[in-house]
Amino acid sequence: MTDHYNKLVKLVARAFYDDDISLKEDNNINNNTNNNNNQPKPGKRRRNDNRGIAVVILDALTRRRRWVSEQDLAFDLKLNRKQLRRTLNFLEEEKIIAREAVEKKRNTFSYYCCLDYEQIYDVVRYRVHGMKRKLKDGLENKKTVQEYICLDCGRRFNSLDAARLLSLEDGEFHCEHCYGKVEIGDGDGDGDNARGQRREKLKEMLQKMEVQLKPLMNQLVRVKDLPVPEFFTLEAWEARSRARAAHGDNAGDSTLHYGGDVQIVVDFSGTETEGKGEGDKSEIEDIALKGKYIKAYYAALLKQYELAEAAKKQQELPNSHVATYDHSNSTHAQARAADGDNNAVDLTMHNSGDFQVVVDFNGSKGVGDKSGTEDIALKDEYIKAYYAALLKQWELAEAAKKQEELSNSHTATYDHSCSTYDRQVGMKSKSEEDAEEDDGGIEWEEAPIGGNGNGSNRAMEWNVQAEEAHEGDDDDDSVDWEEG
Amino acid sequence: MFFHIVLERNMQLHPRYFGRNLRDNLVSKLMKDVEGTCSGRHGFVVAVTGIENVGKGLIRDGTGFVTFPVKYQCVVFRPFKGEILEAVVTMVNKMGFFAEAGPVQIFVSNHLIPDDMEFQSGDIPNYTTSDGSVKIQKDSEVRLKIIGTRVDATEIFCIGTIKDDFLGVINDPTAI
Ligand SMILES: [Zn+2]
Repeated sequence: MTDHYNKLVKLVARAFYDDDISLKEDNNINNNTNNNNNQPKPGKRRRNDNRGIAVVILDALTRRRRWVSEQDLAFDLKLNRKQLRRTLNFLEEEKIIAREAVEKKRNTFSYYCCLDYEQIYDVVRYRVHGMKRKLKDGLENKKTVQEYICLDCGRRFNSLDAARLLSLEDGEFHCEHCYGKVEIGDGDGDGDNARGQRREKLKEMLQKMEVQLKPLMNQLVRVKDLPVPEFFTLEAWEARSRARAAHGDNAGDSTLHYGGDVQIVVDFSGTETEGKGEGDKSEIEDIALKGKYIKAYYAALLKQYELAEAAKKQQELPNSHVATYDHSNSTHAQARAADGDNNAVDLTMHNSGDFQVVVDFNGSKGVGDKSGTEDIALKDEYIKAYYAALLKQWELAEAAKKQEELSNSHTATYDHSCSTYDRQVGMKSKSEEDAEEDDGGIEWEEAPIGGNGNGSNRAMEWNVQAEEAHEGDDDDDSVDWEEG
Repeated sequence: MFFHIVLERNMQLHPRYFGRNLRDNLVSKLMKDVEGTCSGRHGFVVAVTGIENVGKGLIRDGTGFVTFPVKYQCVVFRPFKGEILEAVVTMVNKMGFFAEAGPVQIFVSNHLIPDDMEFQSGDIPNYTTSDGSVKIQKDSEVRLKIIGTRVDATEIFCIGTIKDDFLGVINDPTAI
């Protein structure tokens, strides 16, 4: 149920909020299809590019369920808090999220935000309706004000001036200044040509919109008869989750309290270790359990890679280095290449059921596009070896750990001498598929995996995504293999 | 749209009206002054329906005129964008046609007349469908939708459309 709504949110984010929101705010003021004012003003330059931030935030919110402290959110997303707040303000105005402030101490407030599914559903339908109506009206010339032009002096009028232009002598329109003859003119110049072009443009836009919004529309239909996830105020929700926790009954529940983060940082670069355990006090089993996840994750990573490899071999695409991934196996994890230290693998585990792995291959920042098949093959070898090594490494570390018997911290340290590879390898996989997908079959899997803590079932999301350090954000649904 | 509202006005009365009928004189002057006028804010004053109260008069220096603040109830008519009105066609030309709904003048430009209606010039210029079944000419009654208003301090002018569902001729004078 919630999953369908979450999918809707993700589609909406990508359809409407994937560009720079601060620019959007400006455009909202003077948005007019007739004048084509939609382009950002060229003279205006932005210091920060906020493109895509709303998408990231909304996605994060769909993973977290219910109320999230904005501070935690900023921390998890590694976003500047001001930037986050600005985007959240905008989303609140758009009625996508609900927010609440809680006074923790005197004059210090904590802000919480939450997706308001019921409202989102209405807002989106209204928005789509508005877009369609606007385009259709433009197409049928319904709401337009006719323009007139004086043939003698070139003054322009519109139909609101009609009463003044009307001459009682001959019943025709005459210029109120020079009494010259007045003809129909067009806003952009004159003649039917410009108007025809505009019609064509509108028609094209309408068609494009229908195609591009189809997944969204399908999802709206799908969600239509589903019960809306109940909306709680922050207070009600907290009370509820407290009550549930007291009964020990939070199995598979979307209203799980979002407690502290447990973060494990595995540093392969050498001696530096970092570990943060905050929030939950947990037992050794907890760690062991998490260890299992990690193991499973690495195994899955390796398997996934091998599968993809096999698929690629069959397809035998000689010229393009694109292999498509299907993430239908139970683990779906995301690993993101981030700028950071050498080969740092950063495992972040959230109690909320998020599991994020950041694999950084950022040994050297060389980017080159020249690539031959041997190169790829070579790289594939590396990747394979890498994953195997990763798995083995982990197992070793696990064994070591068992001996050490870490009892009261969440920190696990692994040593890794990265001798097996010295080249930059990249792998990227994304679950997002083209918006044009026919059935709206955009897939975001969430696989239920044994939970932590109380050992109950909990939905955990695994996102795997490793990309080359230079990769920016692109909407490919494919895996790129490129020479680094 | 019609509204029944209370307005206030300072009436200046010449000393010759003072006397027993002062109040009646005041009311009849008020009606003469305001009925049929138009303000951009409230629209057209259609009729004064009652007097709420008449304040104390203030004699003006020099002239002897007395100013009374008068509160009165009245019916006003204010057209709005999106409103559907029934109007009588007053004038047809190749640019479109003019119509009146009470005090309001509305212009419908030719591109907001259905595409199947063509302009026919002649003694009685009109817009007619190709089969001749529907005709818009002077004195036709049409139902139209207001798509824009131009509100000046003392004048409201509207533009309308008949290119939508359930709009168009509702009574053809020649058919009767
Ligand atoms: Zn002129």
